[in-house]
Amino acid sequence: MQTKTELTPAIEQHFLTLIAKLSTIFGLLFITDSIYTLIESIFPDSTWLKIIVGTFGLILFIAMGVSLFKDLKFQGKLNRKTLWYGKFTDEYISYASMKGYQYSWNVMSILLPILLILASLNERVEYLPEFLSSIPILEFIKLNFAILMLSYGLPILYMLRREQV
Amino acid sequence: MLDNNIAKLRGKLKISQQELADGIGVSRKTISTVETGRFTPSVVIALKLAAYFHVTVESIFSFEE
Repeated sequence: MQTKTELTPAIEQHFLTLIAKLSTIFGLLFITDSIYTLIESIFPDSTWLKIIVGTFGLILFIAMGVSLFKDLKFQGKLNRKTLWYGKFTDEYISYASMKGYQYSWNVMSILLPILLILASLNERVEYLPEFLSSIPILEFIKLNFAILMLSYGLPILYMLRREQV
Repeated sequence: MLDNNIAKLRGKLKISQQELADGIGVSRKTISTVETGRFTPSVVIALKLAAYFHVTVESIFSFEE
């Protein structure tokens, strides 16, 4: 893949905003998918609820497709370090990107050990409610992935929000 | 706390944040966050700002404990 090295701060900001949006949409999509599965198992007869959640999921899926398409446009404009390693030349953009990684790392490094402790306790005593302990591994992974994506995307979107000049 | 006179200096030259950002090769977001004190810039940006406004770094930034 041929990449150009000329990179303006505006392109970097646009690219990071897009990545953060994509990450947030991915997170919401996985949460919606898990909620849909949950509704199917708890309320199998509530069609309207499934339609609402399903429509929301479809909208997110389309938004994800649009974001991915926009993301492809940047491939010729970005250098390899920015595209693959998230290295930005602009200081604040680089700071926002790093903050996103920090937040996602902190959230997951707190959440996973808590779940690990609860799971190991659950082996000895009936500590967790049946509902939590019966979550299938696939749904569990989806929820963790959603939290990871949201904790990366949302802080960046907040830091890069539009302001009055 | 790091205080700065960037807004005043911009006002004297009648330039926008975007024009200043383009002038020193950073994003407008960098200028706006430095100006409002939410982001502490590197020495490189401080020197670029000083060169742009033709003043010393100390006359742009001041440190208050």
